[in-house]
Amino acid sequence: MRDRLVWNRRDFVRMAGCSLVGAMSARLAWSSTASKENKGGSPRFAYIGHAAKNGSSHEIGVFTIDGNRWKPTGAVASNQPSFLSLHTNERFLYAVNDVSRYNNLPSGAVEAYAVDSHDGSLTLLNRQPLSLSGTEPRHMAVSPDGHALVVALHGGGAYNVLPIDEDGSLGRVSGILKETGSGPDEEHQQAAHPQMVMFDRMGRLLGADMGSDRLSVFTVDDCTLSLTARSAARAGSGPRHVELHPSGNLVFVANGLDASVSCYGYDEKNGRILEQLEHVPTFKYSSGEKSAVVMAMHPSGDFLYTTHRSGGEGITVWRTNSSTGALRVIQHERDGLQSLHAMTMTPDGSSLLALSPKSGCVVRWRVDRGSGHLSQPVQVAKVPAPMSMVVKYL
Amino acid sequence: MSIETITRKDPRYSTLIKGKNSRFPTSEADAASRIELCDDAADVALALQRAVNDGLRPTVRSGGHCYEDFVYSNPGGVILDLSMFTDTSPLPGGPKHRIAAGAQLGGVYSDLFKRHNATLPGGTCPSVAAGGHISGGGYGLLSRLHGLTSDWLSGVDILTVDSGGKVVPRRVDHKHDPDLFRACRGAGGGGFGIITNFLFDELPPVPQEVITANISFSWLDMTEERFEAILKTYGNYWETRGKDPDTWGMFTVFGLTHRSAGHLGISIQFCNPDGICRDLKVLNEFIGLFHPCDPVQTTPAIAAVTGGERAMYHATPEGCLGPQMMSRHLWLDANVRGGGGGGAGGEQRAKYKSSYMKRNFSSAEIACFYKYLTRTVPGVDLSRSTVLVDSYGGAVNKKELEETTAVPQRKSVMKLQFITYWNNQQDDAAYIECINEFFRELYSGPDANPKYKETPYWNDHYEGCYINYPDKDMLAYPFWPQLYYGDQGLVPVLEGVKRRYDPNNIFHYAMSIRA
Repeated sequence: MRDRLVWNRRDFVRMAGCSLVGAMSARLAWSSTASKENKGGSPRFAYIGHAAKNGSSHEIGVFTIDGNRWKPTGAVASNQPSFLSLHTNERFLYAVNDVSRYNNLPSGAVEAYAVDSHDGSLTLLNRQPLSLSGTEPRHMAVSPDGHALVVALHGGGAYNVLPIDEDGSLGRVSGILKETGSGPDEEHQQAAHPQMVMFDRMGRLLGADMGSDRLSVFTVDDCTLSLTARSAARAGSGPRHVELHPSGNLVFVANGLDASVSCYGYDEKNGRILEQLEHVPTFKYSSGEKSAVVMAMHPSGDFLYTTHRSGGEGITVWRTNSSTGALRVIQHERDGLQSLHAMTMTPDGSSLLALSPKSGCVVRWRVDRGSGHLSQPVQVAKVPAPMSMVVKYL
Repeated sequence: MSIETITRKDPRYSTLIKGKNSRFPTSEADAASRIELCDDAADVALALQRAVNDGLRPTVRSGGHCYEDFVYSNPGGVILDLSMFTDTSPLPGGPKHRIAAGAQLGGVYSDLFKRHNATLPGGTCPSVAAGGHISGGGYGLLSRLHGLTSDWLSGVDILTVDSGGKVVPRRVDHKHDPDLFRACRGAGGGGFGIITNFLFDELPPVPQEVITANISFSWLDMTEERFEAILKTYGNYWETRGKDPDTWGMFTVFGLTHRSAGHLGISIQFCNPDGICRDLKVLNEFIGLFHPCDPVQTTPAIAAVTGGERAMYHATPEGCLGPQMMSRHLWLDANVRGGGGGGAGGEQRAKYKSSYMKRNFSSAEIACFYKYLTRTVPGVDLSRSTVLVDSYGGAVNKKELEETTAVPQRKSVMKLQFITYWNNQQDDAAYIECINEFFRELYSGPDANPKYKETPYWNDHYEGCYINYPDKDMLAYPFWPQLYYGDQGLVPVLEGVKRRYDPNNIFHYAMSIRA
């Protein structure tokens, strides 16, 4: 296969060379795990936030997907689109502007785009500033009813809610919840830093706060946010990413600061995170630089995929125990891939996708449905310094 | 002690949600969801803790005079109102003087006078309260004689919020959290914590009496040449003779009003440095400088300068003490009148700007003043647009205060406040653009550093802007913190204080220090 990646040293150097075009500091982000119900396994379009060709600004690139070939078909200018999310109806796309200053005020912003259902192209609907001091938005989630967008503000240490109009455009921020808290890591935990939000099946919102080592459950009502429950994570672990087991009884947490994965019981009915059931390191890192972890859950709930951002360790495949939450390593995928992020699983569980910012590409693995094992990775698109990705199926 | 919580359902909400400047909150969606009326420091701590626990943003009001939207643009948040916390009795075991944050200057002057025959060299608007005034380096008619209010501070009681979200009461001074104390002496307006009490070991004595006077000029027969002569005379005095200590008891405000107002004039308050009015030589010498400029005889009330934090009082003259109208008053009568303050400020809308000047006006600046004070703009009534040029310096300009306070402007001889007032919301853009255009052009001239065009950035002519006359338009310039706090190292100090004492950035507004 011509585009199969056999990551020998020569290839690595070649790919790294490509990525220099848009050399920039891409921040950790993950793909949306937008509602996967009623979606087939065939992705139609992909959207990738990346450095523009001149390296000075950013774009959201549109790709038409045809098997292993992702064909670029257009792009819109954006500003630090470090996270992308599709509306539940997939007719609208949202992008955070992961910045600290917008319109001369200390805040980030969010963009709303209409998605053309035929060619996948994007048209800007509007752009809304986030709350004052709501800087560096890093993640967001559309409510299951499609009426609200919740944004996690890393820099601002807060969550914002914005109403979504019928036409997909965003109303001004209607709910602000400011967090406080800290942790033992002096470099990263001087203050609260919400990293991720996701809705459970009951419509409650889970939030992971890397700064305060805290997991929270919120209720979104009338486009405002209120706290339902809190749960303290291991001190210094830095929760960054949560995934719910399809049973709704377990929540897996990828920890960014101590490079570990945890599993907690989850009371979906009452919106409460229960006791910690599992806590395992992802890898011992060989160098001094700490790694952040990104994660994807197989739709069967049997496998979990985690990766390091640095060190080149690749992906760890875990088998999950849906009763006890225990995690067991079943594969180390180590093909020389560096700093993967924006990892996402196709809804049918047949493929795993991720971005390699340093190598400047999108890679895909086939997933063995029985064993959960990953195939050799395939490069499906070249993109300068990609930072975020979302895939449209409908 | 009990906190009165005002929610949207309360009939008082619509009044209490507003400030003195009717522009704010800009819309209903920008308004806070509740107001917590606090009686004392314990109430404030409790109300603050509640806000933090609820994940709501607290903003703080004492007198409600903030020129920008720092208090009132707080969507869904909480306004902590300290306006009923007005105590001026010393705290047990504390320093000699205590002023609670909600105490209004009119009451403060009166109380300090009665208790100790002392005063605060603060502003003239009696309903401005201590909280915002002193923390931002408040000044007034006695500042040339006695320095800034914040220069006299020996400590503050302040509530901060630690990284875990817990409210921490602190008494900070030279020995305890000295970095935070320094920040509260000029940069402390609600950006690091909530100051509840201002503490002073000593305060200056009250002048026994003062003389007020004014010099007025008619716009009717004004020429550009005469306008220039008047401004040069004024600025030259403060750049030269005004530096002599025997003049420090004199404070003047030159109200450069628009031509449509009819007159422009200089208001003067004078006393000898020892607080009496025995020797009027300095005053007469100053007034005499303007004789060649054809001042007009008017009753002082007509020429009285009002606006913003400036309102110099002129009673009907009791007699002619000199060539110009003068009147003699007991100091308290001249400085404390009526003005209960509090609550909303009616329909008046306003926009303000500021600059510090180290030297006399240049001809280029005066030409720009003349152009904008005499122009007409269709649909815009500029008769309530003014540039107030305050005399400055004297005791303010003690170099050592640069290191121990957060007010770095210690070389200026004049301080300018640009003001425009109007009443209707639909006129906001027109009035704001008028004052912006004026300011931009004035500070793009030969006296401004081209690198910092459109602003009075620090050079041998200017010393930036005054944070108590905040102007959000300055946010367009990446160097805006330096405009207010200088470029000699204070900004990093303040950023460090922010990180240390407010790690979660609980206390923020558009122009608060960012870590």
